[in-house]
Amino acid sequence: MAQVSQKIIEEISDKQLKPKPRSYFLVYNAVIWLLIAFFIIFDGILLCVNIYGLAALDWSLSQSFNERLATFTTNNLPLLWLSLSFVAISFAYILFRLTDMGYKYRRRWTVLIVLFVALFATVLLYFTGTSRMILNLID
Amino acid sequence: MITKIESSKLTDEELVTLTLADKNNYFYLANRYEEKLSRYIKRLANFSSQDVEDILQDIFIKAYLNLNSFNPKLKFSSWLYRITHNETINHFKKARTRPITLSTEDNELILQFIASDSNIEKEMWSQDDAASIQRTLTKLNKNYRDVIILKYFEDKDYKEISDILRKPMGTVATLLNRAKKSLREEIEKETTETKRKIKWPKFPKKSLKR
Repeated sequence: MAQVSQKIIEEISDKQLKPKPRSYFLVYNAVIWLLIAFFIIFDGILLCVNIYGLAALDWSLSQSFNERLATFTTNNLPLLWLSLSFVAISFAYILFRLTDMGYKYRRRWTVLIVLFVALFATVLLYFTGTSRMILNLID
Repeated sequence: MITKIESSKLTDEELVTLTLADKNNYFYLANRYEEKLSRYIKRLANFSSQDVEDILQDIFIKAYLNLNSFNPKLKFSSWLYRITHNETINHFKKARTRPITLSTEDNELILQFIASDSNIEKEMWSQDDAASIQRTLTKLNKNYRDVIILKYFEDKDYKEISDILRKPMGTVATLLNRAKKSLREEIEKETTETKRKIKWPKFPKKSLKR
């Protein structure tokens, strides 16, 4: 067993192994954080679409259809956008867990942090009109 | 390359810096950890000495290749133990089994572990009982076993266990408490079963043949 360290040095020399450069890990971490930011912004835009959708609803129709307000809202929710929003936030969560600090917090706190940041991004995108601008561009 | 005496005065982190400058210095780092890590691998899984040596080589090569990813905020030992833990798990995933066996040299550590738990009466236990606890440990949930091995056999603190297993410190503390509770229950169960199995003296069967 005492020879393992010697064998390792020999293997490193024979195969001419070298440590991966620091820049590789810096780029890797940067990509992860960029992806997190992307998914959070994407989630923000999707939630804004939901807000626009709900804001554009003619709420007086609920009385015409004799539906409860909750039922009316549920029936008219843009479920596709909500599902996509859930997927985006899940990706952001998974990526955050992969970062160096991702494991230091309990799962519930991590979920709350990601949700809070996503909601903050949503509010920011909604009130600055950025999301409307992006949606117009997509249209 | 530095000398052996010089290397003994250096910290792990300093040796990492020197290794990045000259690969031959990696010998001292590997030499410092090979015994500890081989014991840890044996505690985690029942591999043969040859397998342990192969796993160790893989670990040290992987650690060398990723040396630049070492975060100085962490302890080098925690970083290396994390690689060891993951590599060992990968190996026994390939083997599809994970029976653990603790060596007889671990008996003393087991007794220390029991002594550290105020809820278990120390005087009740002898060296012989350690063997029974060894058996009980093998029945524990994987997560519980991992924290017990790291805390009591590898002598790691909560922060280090958290960094090795990549779990929050609070979770580590909870797991450790549950592990102790589970171990106590298993021991009690085993004791009750042993009491039940009373060995009756064997009477010679009457021969039908005359």
